[in-house]
Amino acid sequence: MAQANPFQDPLRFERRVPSCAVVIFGANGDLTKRKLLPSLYRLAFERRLPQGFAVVGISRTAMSDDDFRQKMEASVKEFLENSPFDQALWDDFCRGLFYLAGDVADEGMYGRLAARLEEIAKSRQTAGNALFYLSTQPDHYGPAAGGLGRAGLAKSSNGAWRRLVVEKPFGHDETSARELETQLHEHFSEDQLYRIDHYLGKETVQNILAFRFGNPLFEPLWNRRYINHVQITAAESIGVEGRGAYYQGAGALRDMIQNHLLQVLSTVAMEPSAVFEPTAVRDERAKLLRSIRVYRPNEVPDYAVAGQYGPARVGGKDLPGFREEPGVDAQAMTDTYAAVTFQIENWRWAGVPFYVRTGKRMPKRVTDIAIRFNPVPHSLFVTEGDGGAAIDTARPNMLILRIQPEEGISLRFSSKQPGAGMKLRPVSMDFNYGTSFGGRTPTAYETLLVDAMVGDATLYTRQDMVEASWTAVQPILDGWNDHKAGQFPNYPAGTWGPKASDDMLARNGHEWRVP
Amino acid sequence: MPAAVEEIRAEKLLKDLANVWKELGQTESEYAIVRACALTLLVATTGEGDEQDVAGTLGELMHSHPSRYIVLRLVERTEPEFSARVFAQCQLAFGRRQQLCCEQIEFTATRDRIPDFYAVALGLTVADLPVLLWMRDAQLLFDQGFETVLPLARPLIIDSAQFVDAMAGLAEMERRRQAGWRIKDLAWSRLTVWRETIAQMFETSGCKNLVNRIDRVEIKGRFGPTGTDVQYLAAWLAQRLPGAQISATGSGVQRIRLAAGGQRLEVNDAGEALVATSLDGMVTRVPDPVRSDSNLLGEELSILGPDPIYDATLRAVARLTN
Repeated sequence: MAQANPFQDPLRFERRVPSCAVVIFGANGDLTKRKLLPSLYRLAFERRLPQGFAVVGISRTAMSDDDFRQKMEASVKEFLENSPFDQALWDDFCRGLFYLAGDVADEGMYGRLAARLEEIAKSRQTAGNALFYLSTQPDHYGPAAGGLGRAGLAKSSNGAWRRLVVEKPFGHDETSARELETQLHEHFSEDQLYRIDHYLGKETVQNILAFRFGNPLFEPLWNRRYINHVQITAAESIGVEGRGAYYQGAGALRDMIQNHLLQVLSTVAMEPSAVFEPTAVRDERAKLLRSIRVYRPNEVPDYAVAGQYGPARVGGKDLPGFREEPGVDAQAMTDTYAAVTFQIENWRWAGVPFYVRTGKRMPKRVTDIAIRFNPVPHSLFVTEGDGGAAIDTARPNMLILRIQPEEGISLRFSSKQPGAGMKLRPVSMDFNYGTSFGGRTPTAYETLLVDAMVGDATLYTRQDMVEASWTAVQPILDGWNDHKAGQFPNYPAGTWGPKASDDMLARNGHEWRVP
Repeated sequence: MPAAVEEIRAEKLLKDLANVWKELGQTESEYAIVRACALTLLVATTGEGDEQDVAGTLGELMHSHPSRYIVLRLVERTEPEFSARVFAQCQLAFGRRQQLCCEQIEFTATRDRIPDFYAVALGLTVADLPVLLWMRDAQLLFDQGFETVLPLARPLIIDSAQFVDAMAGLAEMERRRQAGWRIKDLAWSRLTVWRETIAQMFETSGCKNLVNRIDRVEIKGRFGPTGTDVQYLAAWLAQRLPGAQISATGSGVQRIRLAAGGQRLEVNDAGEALVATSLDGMVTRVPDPVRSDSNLLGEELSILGPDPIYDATLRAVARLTN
């Protein structure tokens, strides 16, 4: 058993990242340049990385180590968020950057990688630990995992660990997700696999757990007796921004709801785990996802709405419709908007609709979760409206967990309006993450990279969670494929989505809030 | 305008504070005002003319630890003096539409009015939130007149680097700790980067198994007499390496050398806000930014509960003085 490090001080030092090499497949790609290398550099800046550390970049482009270092220096300078660039530190950090040109389909490349890693383990003291990061096209996941396995790189030896990080999408549908699982599991065991969903790495998503399970005030109310319904919104103001060709084959339901938003939903609705440990937390998330009602084909139109934006003039600017975006088929039936009423079939949530919507080209970029509580059982504060109708001035309480852009929590409650009489008006009590914790918060990739290097999979998705998500979403995809979702486009760019989505909530006496 | 002696009552100051917020709300239209408070920080200073320094430190600190700041400035006067003023500091964080504002109550008092300050401050600490006392002048720890103030807060923050007699200062801190105060030392926070770098070295495969073989440790400071920082490091390392012979000299840590037979590990001040580790010829540099008081205070305020490693180190250092 490894001897504990007597010099550690967990109260003051950040978590220990063990010596290791991070091997990035797709080192010339956007994710590496925009997120991975800036995050790793920032971790070095924060003294989070061990002294025995190296990065090996792999892509098809021929490049020397020095070329790669220069390229990464430019990327880090360009994409570093809220952080200074320290040249002296970079000079030191970049000595641990290496490059290997090769194709994932080339078996010989894995042999060369093995030799390189062995050499780096000695020169950089990485202890033989390696984190393989697949930042490539999804169809390369299987071949890369296979190549690593056949070269013996998936096997741990001499106490060293090997882990594989996979970016979403985890399959294109339920069947392909299972096929991918088979390919990955051929050489890597489940505990070596880290399926990254960067939404779970966001501080504010993690804060949902802290909020729910660290504060006894709300948890007793967190159930069907007190909560009327939940709305989860992830709206983007931009369109497909040059990703038209990819997006055309994906759509909003696959791109956002199947992964990110169902993970957020599971965080909001899961049962408390006995301990805050990866298996326990993920067990609860998976259990929740498995509790989502799977719709029959004839139910899909009642519980799911697809939309696609059309052209519009917004703020004096002409915006193209989805079908006019570069790389998009003029007859594309892709959903750029999706809204689903999820129902969770367990004792806590039976009868509470979870409305989840996401879309492109909406009026603004916002992600939040609104929890609407039941109205008071008997209101004292009723006034007379038009024609003598009684109007209850006490509005139901609303708790809003804001994920982006202004991260925080707001509680809406009723207060007496100043003056004569007893009229109530909704007011808001706001907690703002940025102003209460003024310091810089780590990016989702910083958090998740550290977690993978440390071996903490709490915020990573497990295969059973992936499968449960697909099980919930697949009938909707099938339903939309079988009966074309409707006349597309069905909402103008710059609006909150198609009318059918409003109708879906109206059938339950609810309406979308304007975030 | 400073308030007259007889006017200073907690209720009056709280009313003045409420007016400050009301005025801020009325005059500020472009950016929303957020009144933030996570704790009460009492600050005791003897530096006349240090208003700007203190305001600067607290202004930086409010980003990470928005608080009600109560500053006591002790002054030398021929006549007794006791005055107070209230104000708010606001900062607009980059890219945000809200201003974060913290309130500050500042007292100026001659030593004979310290009991008056205590009586007023009792009514000014924010209910249900932690109260800490930062003795900006560490010598106040030896000031009998200042004893009256100490019951206001259990955590006491001191910078032992200010002690003229390091060992006497550390002994007094330990005495206070044993009497029930929670001691926090900015000189200890300054060592975090050194301690963390050493800890990181022993995470590498080359060092992991050396812990039990380290037989000599040398800690060298840049300046003359042995300071509390070097004493702390020596005690901290001695507890972890009971078999090692430890020599420690100077203050302002410059180098830590650990030897295990023929193998040598070093952590050096590399200048340019970096420390360098040297291990089997592999040199790694780690950021060691110059840390302001607000940054050091931020680290201490993040640990509101017990800090067993620091407490054990202080106990060990103080034992050397007996």
